[in-house]
Amino acid sequence: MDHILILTQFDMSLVASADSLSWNYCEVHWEKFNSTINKALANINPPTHLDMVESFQAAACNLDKALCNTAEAVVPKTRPHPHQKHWWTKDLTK
Amino acid sequence: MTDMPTHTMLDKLQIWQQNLNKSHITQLTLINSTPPGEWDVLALQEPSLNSLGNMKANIHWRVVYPTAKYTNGDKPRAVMLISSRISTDTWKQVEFPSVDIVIIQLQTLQGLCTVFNIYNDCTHDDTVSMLERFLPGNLPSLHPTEQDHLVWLGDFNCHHPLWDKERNSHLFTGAALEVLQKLINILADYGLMQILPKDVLTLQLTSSSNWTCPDNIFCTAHTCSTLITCDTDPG
Repeated sequence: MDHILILTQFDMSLVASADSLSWNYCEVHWEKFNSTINKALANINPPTHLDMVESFQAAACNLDKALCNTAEAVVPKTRPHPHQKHWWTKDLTK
Repeated sequence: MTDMPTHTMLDKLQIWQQNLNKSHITQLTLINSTPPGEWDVLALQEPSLNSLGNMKANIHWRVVYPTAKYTNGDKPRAVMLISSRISTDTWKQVEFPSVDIVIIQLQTLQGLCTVFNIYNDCTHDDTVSMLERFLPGNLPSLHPTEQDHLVWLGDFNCHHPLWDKERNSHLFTGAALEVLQKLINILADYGLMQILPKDVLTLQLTSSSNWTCPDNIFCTAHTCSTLITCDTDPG
């Protein structure tokens, strides 16, 4: 005695799960990375003594942008494996 | 900096409903052969459960048990599986005090869609009575605006000339119709329309080989305008 299934479709749009990509640092060409970030760092102010909160924030923002732009340009991205498990080590338990 | 979410939209809400009749084989076949990319919601009644009251599924589905399963320990007779490709930010479960009903709310671009997966026991109408008591106080959250949608589906275990064939008139006894009238009244009170065409039969009885229609699906009237298809699949 099996019931027959009923299939129904509605014209309603749903949001799909976020397609999360992460940086794949194992595949980075580090010489290219170094030359790209050196060029990016050359375009911002050189390291100096910072005595104002505003100037500190501006310098941090510039450094962050340089790192992000370099990563976007040079570091490949990877899609997490669907069967990937959370990792843990005994050192972390201590 | 490590995660860069990109949201895409799924253009249809696709629901597969079936009473599994506690068949482990039917359930495994369903889970392993139903492409989660094609179906968004599996609304199951009488699933096959293990001793803990859980069912087997795979990583493509998120299993939603009745909230009452966790409070009184009874084995559920209604379970929903939501495709893991749907963002968990866009749906949630609504608490209901019975192991025979699972309610989920999906946020769609066309409004909030609240789906009731119902197993109605053929020996009593307690589930319908619970729905009757539950709905008035909870309607503001279930159906906040006129644009929002209500969908009721499941195994209602009842026979009525509105959906069964006339040749099943021997099942339309006065006593049965009187009990069923409570469900019909609720459907009418909340403006729910039957969208499974009349005379579409879903179950062949072992004893008489007669085909009947205990399974059904209803939705609010304006939801019918979004309906693309509703039919059985004999497999």
